[in-house]
Amino acid sequence: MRMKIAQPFYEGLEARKLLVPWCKSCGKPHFYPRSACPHCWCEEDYDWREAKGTGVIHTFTIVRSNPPPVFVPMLPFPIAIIDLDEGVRLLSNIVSDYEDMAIGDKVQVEFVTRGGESLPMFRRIP
Amino acid sequence: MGKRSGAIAAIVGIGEVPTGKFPERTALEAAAQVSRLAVQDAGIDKRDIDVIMTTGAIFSRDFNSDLIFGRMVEELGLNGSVHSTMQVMSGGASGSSLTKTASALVNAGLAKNVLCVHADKLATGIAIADAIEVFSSLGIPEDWERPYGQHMGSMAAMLTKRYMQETGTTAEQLAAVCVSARKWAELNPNAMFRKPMDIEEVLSSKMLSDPIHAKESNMLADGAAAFVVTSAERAPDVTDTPVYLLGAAGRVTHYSLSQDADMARFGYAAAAREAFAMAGIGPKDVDIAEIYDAYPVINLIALEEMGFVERGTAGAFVAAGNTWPGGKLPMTTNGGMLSQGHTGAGGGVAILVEAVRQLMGKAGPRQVPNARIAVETGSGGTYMDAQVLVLSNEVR
Repeated sequence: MRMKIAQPFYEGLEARKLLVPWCKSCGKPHFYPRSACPHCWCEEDYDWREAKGTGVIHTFTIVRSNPPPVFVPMLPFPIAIIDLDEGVRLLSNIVSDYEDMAIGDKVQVEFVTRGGESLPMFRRIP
Repeated sequence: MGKRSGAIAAIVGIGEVPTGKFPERTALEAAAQVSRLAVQDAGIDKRDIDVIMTTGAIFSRDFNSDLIFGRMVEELGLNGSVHSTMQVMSGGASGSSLTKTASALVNAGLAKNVLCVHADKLATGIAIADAIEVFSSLGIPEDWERPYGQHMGSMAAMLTKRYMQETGTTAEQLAAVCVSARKWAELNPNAMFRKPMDIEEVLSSKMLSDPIHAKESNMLADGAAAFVVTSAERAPDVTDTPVYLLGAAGRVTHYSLSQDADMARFGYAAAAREAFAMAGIGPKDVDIAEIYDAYPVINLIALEEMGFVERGTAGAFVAAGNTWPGGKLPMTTNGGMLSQGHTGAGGGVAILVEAVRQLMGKAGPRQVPNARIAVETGSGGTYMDAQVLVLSNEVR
């Protein structure tokens, strides 16, 4: 069951928007969405702002073997941790070429439907 | 001998069974056997155990429920004489957490002798697919990271990639950590993998998630270990080979690896600084570094952060043989999770038991001569924490 306070995030994905929660009290963003602002514990609904969708690769790997069972048909596939320009970090997949990928590469969000859900993934950009 | 004012508590008995694939051995049998071994090693009467503290078993919810709900009390014939039974679980940090919790109880006078027990059956008690499923969920937020295929292996890979980028550490140097572990495991009858292995063999093994090769990954195993904690005051009356807890500290830096502000650094710097200060020692006083080693990068980060070597030089230090048998700083002398085997929370319990075994002088062919002080480290979940214990067979 998903947290009610995070519901706008999923609604955003359906509209192909990557929304980041900003605290209405302390004014700081965080990600992934917590049950209340982790900085100041404000429990008010967040100010959901659309992210620019750009960021850089903080680190990554190419999974070549032994993934969770449901991911076996997708091998090999890249997982990356991305620093969004807004200053928050998220984990996702890279959907573009990846063999020469490096830490620090710029990426742009791209919405991919998987298992009936829209997920924010990333494409490398120059 | 007198009052041990410099020590927090003491460990006076240890027990362990071989780690590996033991389809015929139930987890309960193993847990009971190591418990009896630890109590016999301490030389105390079983009725002197007043607290049984188990850590979590991962392979079976039913077995873990048994551990929580007093099965060990009954199995050991201690109905009515045990005052409390409880579970203390923090994954790979459980060896440290059991020791800290049990030590606090005996130090406060709330317990006399605490029997700490672990058993798991991750090689033969759970289907491989189910085990992979479990290790794709622990410490990985369901809604936010599991949809992308994150699992323990990819996590270690991303951490290693970042560490290599920041420090210039090479693939060969990472592989050397596995070679160091194997050299110790060759001398450990309880280890799962004891065949000599070199850097080439590690680097030519299958790539799992770049840059982690199969032989840089821990292997799930069956195993069990136990130890007895008593007060520092009582310890010399109990045994001739007490091992004292002189310092303990830790840091929890995150739940999900992606939320660690600085993932290629752990909390070992702060934890070691505090644990060393509590013990009144420095890194130069340490004879053995029993480092929790789910993947080789962890050893390198821990060696650097605890102050044994400078940032970015641990790889060269290990590759030069400094941590092998006969080296300057013996490291993870049971072969660790990389060679003794990964028994869930037991990886951390085994390394604690090994630190005690070395300081008791009971490590047989891999005994480090004249070992006086050992550090033991633990890290649970997604390397969520960094725990450091300082142990010694002397009170300072």
